[in-house]
Amino acid sequence: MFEGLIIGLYIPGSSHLHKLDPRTKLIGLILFIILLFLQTNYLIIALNTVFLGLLLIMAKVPLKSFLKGLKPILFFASLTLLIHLFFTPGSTLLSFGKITITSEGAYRGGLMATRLVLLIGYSTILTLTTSPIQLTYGLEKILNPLSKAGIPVTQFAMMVSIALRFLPTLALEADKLIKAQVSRGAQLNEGSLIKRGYSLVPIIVPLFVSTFRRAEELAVAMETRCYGGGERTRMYELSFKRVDYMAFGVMVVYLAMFFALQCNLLI
Amino acid sequence: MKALKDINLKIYRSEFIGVMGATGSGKSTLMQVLNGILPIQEGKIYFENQEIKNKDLKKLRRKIGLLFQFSEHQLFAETVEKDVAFGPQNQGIAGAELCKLVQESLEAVGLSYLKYKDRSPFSLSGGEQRRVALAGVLALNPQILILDEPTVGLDSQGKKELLSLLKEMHQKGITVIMVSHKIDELIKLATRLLVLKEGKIVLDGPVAEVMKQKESLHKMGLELPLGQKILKMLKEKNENVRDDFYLMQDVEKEIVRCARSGILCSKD
Repeated sequence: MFEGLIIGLYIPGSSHLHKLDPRTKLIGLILFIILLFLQTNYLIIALNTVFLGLLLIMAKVPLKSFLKGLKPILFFASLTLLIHLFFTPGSTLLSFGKITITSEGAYRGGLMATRLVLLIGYSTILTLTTSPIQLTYGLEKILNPLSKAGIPVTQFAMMVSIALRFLPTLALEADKLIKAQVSRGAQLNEGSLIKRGYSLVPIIVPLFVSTFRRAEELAVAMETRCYGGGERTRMYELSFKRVDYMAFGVMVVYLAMFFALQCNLLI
Repeated sequence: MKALKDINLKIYRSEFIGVMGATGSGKSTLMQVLNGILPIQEGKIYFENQEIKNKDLKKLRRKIGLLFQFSEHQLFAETVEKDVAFGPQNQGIAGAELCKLVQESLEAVGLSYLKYKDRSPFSLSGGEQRRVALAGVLALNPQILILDEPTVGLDSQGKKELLSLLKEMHQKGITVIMVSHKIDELIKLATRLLVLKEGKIVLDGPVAEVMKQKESLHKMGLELPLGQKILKMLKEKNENVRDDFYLMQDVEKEIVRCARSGILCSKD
C-alpha cells in the first residue's frame, strides 16, 4: 500500500547532484517551483520536462524508483485534468451529448496536471539525492537569519528532520495495523463513505498511540544525550564549492530562457 | 524483491508447529500467507482439501486467527470488552452471543471478565494488553491459531502464563502454529518443528527428529536448548556424557546418571 511512497527516501550516490550543497539544491527547487506556477505556455513545460530529464540523468538514480515516487501524484494530476476538461467554460472542442470539452479546459487542465507532475518530479529528485540530515541542515542555514528575530530555526529544522525520518516508519506501522485489523475481519473498503470513515478508527487510534509513545521515547533518548544543552556544532560545515557556483550559473541561464519563452521573445 | 519461494507445507489438524529461522528468513511472511492476509502470486493454498483462491481469502481468515508481533499495539477501543468484540462484530455476531464470546475469550486468557471489561486497554500492563489482543483473536473462534513471536517483550511470569495458555488451547484441539526465536519454548510445546532459511523450509519434522540435526541447526545460527548446551559442555570434559537430550527432565536424568556412575569426576 505504501510501497510507492518514496518522497523522503534517499538513495546514496556520488553524482554531481549528490555532491551539491543542500542549500544550492533547496534554492534551485524553490526557484523551479515559483517558475512552474508562473508558466503559462507549453514551450516552457517542454523546457521544464527536458530539464527534469537532464537532472534525472545527472542524478544517476534508478528511473524505476523515480517513477514509483511519481505514481501517487498521477491520481491527483488526472483528477485535476478531468475537472478542468469538463468544467471550464469556453469554445467547444469536443462534445458527447451533455458533456463538452472546451479548448480552454484542455489547455488549463494540461497545464495544471503537468505542473503537479513536474513539481513532484523536482522534489523527488531533491529528496532522492539529498540525505535528510543534509536537507535539514541546509534548511536551517537558509532560515538562519530568522533566528535573529527570535524564531527557533534550529528546533524547527530538527522537527522537520525527525518528521522526515519517521514517515517511512509510520507507513510501515500503518501497514501492519491494517493487516492486523483486517485479519480480525475489519472491512476497510466497503460500505458508504461514513462507514468507511468509521472503519479507519481501529487503525488511526493505535497509530496515534504508537506515535506518541515513539515521540516520548525519542524525546527522552535525545535529552539523555544532552540535546538542548547548548549551541550545537557540526562535524561537517557546509561550504559552497565549484559545482555549486556552476549550478547557480545554470539557474541563471534557465531563468533567462524561462523569461524569454514567457514573453515570447524566441517565437 | 522476492518474498518466499518454493514452500511446500502440509499442516495437519491439532498439530503444534514451532517455526524457527533467522531474522528475515520469511517467518512472518509465511504466517501472513497462511492466515490469508497476504494474497499469493504463485502457487496454491488448500484448506480442508479445498483450494482457496485469492478472492476467498476472507473465508480463510475467519477460520484462522493470527496474532501479530507486538499484538498489544493493535488495541484501539475505549474498553477491553469493545476491543475483544471487534472481530466477532465484524462477522455480524451481536447481542447475548457476542457477550458470551467476549466473556469466554477473556476468561480463556486468564483475565476476569467482570474485572477487566470496562477498563481501558491502554491502562493495562504490557502482559495484560497482549492477553487482551489474544482474546480478540480467540473471540473469532479460530480452528487454527497462528502466533508471531507471542512472548517477545513479556516478563518471565507473563511468558510462563502465555505459554501454558497455548498448551491448553492445543489440548482443546486447536491447531497452533507459533513463531519463536527461543528454542527452549518450542521444544516444550511443539509436536513438529519447521526451520526456515531465506524463504525455504530447510528442516521439517517431529521435534525429536529436527533436534538430531544439531550441526545444521548450529550452522543456521540457531541456539541449542539450555539443557543441551550444558550436556555439550560436560561432554567436552568426558566423552561418555550423552548430549542428545534436549528436554530439561531428560537432561536432568542424564546428569544424575553421569554423576552416579562417576563419569563427571575429574580423572586426576
